[in-house]
Amino acid sequence: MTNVITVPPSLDDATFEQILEPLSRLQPDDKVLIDARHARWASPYGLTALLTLAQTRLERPSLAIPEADETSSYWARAGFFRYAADLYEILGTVPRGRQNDPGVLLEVTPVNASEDVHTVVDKVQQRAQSILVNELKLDATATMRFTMALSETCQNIVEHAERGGWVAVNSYRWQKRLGGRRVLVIAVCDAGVGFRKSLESAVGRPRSDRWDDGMALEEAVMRGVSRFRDTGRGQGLAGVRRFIGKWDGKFSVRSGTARLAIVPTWDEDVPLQENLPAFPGSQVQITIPERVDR
Amino acid sequence: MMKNHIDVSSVLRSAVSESYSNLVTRPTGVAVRVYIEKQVLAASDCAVTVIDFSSVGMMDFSCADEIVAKLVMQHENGTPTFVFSGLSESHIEAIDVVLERHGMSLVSHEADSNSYIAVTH
Repeated sequence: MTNVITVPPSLDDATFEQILEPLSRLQPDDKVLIDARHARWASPYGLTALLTLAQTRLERPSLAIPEADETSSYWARAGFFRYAADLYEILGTVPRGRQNDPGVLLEVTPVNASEDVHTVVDKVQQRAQSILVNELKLDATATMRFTMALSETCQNIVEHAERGGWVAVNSYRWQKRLGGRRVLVIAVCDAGVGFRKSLESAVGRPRSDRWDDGMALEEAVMRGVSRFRDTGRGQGLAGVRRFIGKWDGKFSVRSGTARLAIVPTWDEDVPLQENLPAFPGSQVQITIPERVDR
Repeated sequence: MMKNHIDVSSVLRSAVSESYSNLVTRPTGVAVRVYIEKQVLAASDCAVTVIDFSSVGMMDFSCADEIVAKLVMQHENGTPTFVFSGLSESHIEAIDVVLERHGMSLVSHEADSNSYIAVTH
């Protein structure tokens, strides 16, 4: 029997939970059809998380692609189908031809090794300057910090996930939120071991009464704890968190059954969500809004 | 006093890849530090080694830790003295974060506005 899971019309980090909820009730080898026919939009998180979802399945899943030409064309321009075709049995006609999309700062890109992080940083650096300064009205120094944040989140996969993942960066204008401001969104998703298991692998890690995905996220993101004993380790995500605060941005990390978020004043998210549907690996999202002079 | 001058950008291209201009990822940082260590050893009669970052694009925390913090810690006896020059605002930011974790900080070197040494708190 094939289990059909419907992709919501607007697929982002919040609505992806609507996919994970029914998925978490299935066995890893159950046959799954991800039905995206009625999807109209997907964020970088939505696209990269769909790829990681396929990686978690023992039986190759199927994907019914969006029926709306505009949507499937956008997913193609974002580089999604190039990798989805290897992971999913694709149902529907994938749009051909390539056009650049001005909003796609970095197409969906695999991150498997350190060399990939260099490639990502090199690709993004030039275009990031234009988007960050001209569209988001950030000062020129933001470009370096932005690429540092991108580098550190991608390295998280290489150093800890024990499995490859995906990164994508897009800029777009929010229609309903933040008064229609532009935002730049980085999504880095993997289906690896996740934060809890990564930290558990540390030799001599002290045991505590409470130990779960939420606490593992707090340790890693808020306190810079790493599985490595080297005191220089664990600074990446903690450093990213500092940058995000300077830009009034949002930083969220989901791993296992928990999701931790650094929530700016313009957002109504909660800092820590627990008992979410279980999903392997870690899924990171950084949102940088256009600056407005107050 | 003899000074040893090391251009980090050249080291990056020699030690890792001709096409790289950014100091990102820990393996890159390790490779660059090991290469620098060899140059330091080869110029052991120099009391001061200037590590020049002026042609380096971006440096992330991992490379700041591997190249600056570990280099200084491995020469805690102060021989040679490492002077870090050509640092951009974002380089300094990354280095400050990693040095703080090791109980150190950057201070200006001999009133030169763009040369720094790392000192223990």
